[in-house]
Amino acid sequence: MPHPSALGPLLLPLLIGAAGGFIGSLIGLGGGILIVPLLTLSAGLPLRTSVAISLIGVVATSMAGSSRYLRRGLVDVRLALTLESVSIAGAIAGSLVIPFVPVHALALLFAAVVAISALHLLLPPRADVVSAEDTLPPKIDGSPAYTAKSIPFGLTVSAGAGILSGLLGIGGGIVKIPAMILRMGVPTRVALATSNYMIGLTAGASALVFAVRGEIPLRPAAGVALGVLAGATLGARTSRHITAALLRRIVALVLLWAAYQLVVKAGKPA
Amino acid sequence: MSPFRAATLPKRMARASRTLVVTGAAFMAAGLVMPGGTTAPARLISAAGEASPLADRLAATGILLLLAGPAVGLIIAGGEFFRRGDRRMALLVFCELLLLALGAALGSR
Repeated sequence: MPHPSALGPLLLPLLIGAAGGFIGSLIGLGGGILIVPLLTLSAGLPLRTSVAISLIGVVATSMAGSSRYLRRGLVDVRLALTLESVSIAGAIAGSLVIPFVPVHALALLFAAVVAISALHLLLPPRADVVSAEDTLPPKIDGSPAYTAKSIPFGLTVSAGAGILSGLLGIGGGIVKIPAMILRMGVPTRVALATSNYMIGLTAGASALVFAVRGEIPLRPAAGVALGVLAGATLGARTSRHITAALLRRIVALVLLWAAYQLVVKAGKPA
Repeated sequence: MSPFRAATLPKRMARASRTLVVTGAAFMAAGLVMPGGTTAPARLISAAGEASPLADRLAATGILLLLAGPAVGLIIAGGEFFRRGDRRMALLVFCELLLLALGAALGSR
């Protein structure tokens, strides 16, 4: 397995981070679901190292995006902090048990999550989700123009998303966003903004455990974070010029390819 | 609680996020362009110390600033909820900060 220093310690993580940040900002996710397979498959990094680096990228995505969303008053801070109470606990639990999870099991779990995400992207958006786009964001005084329902369900999903974050290096937005929109009655724009804020807390909790354990390679992680910041900024500016449906299909195909490669990798002896 | 005060909470959190992102990115960029850094995994706190090459120290400081962002946001939110008299939310945020500290403590063992 080639060492990252042999693969251009600056360029490759920057490019991977930029791809994750660009696509993540366009489809409303942290980008970890793309960064981990790209780091593992194209940079040849061990899966656990990719998970650790990806978490830094997810925090960068969240910090960059949420400052914009918070200013616009789109983040439901109260809901986010309520759901994060269990998400943070799950993230810490996931990142503490990751050394005990066999790499091939981790690869298979990641492949399954990636494949489900890809299929989710390929499905046409539900009518109720589309209509929710028009729902008003919270009022300027901070009181939401809606009431979030099914909080126990949201807490359960958030705990699961936290565990997945610690294990797989993702923010968990792929799970939180559908739960907030479809079951909790949160307007789509508010759900995307709130999830963007939440993934930073979740990934930050996981990343903290990796950081104190000394498992984050500094320069590749810094490269990915900078790439993510640049990619997310570019994504936000070009989002009006790209058809969302086409982008969803392209990303879904890339994810399905990544899932297949991870399954193949999991089947090979270490 | 006046509407004005309630609306300032997200703005203060946004300002803190932006400041930490910009400062962290500057440190990380400096660490990346400076020669002599390593690509091996390292403990962030140790790497930010004096024993490491300057490139590593800068990159580690940048990553630490980035990771501090969510915790700083929590502190701002917790303080604001406490000032408003929303003790339940303030306590929840305090527990979340404790959880983060517990995670760091358990991870370092």
